[in-house]
Amino acid sequence: MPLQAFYTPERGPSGYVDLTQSDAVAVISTIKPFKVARVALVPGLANSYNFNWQNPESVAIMVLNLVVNIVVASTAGGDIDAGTAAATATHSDNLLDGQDLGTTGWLNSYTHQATNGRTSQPMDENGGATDWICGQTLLQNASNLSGYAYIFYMLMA
Amino acid sequence: MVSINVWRQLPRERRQLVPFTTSTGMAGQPWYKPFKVATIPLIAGAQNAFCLNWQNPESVPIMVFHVIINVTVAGVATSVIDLGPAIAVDTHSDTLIDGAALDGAPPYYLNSFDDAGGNGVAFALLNENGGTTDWITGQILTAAGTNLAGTVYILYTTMDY
Repeated sequence: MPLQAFYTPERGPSGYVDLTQSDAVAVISTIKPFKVARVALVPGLANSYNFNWQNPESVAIMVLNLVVNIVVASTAGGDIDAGTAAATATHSDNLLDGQDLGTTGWLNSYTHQATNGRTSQPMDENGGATDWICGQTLLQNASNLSGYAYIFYMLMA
Repeated sequence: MVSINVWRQLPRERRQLVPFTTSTGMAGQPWYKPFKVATIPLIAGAQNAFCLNWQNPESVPIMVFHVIINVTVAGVATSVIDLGPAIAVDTHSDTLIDGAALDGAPPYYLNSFDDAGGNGVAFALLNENGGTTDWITGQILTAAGTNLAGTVYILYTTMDY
């Protein structure tokens, strides 16, 4: 099936060129660095939000990993849900679902996704429909909570 | 000790070849290495048709560490996709994504970690372009993907060290 791909130096003149699927793909690889956003965890009572992060990019992004470093834990039995959301302070668990916030250590969306979480999640551009990641403290208070959330992502443009 | 030259990671206008030795660079020393993303459209087709054929364009082996599929127009009910490394175009493989649904409510995303199924293993090593296993193929199974549309993102790093 003919496709159109952007010009690349290997392919000749500027503008579009017609390619077949099998040879088009050979010229579309793009070098992309990871980006990482670090967000401090905020202490609070049960059901409060311990971080809210809005995609600062003007394009959609793919979150490839959400890592949380719990330096000072919540009260024993506390949990965290985290995921993409339409607004700040909005519950979501599509990255981390019900993970232990009562123990110091590291969480990530590869191994702590539980039932509702997934490894990677798309986000809309800044101002788009789903451009937030929210983390919520559940079950117990986390009055002294401290640590960081690290959001690894790539641009989808 | 073997000396080689590598691209020093600087802004494009300042890049230069600098000496790089096995003792300082190859013995566990990290250096900046961006990953690459191949962006490929899904191709609609009948049951058993291949919706993806991508050949490693690199002259060195690559490690595919994440495959993401954005399905924007779904396949027929019960259709699924198998995807993985293969020795040739149009050759079945399911060692990255095994039997993931193509009939969801679009748009939605599949990936090689959460949708690996029984045979998928999230990561895959591909040989260099022209090598034994240098393709990633995706096949529509169980039912047709007549109007199937979307994009496949193959995230990889070159294994040139």
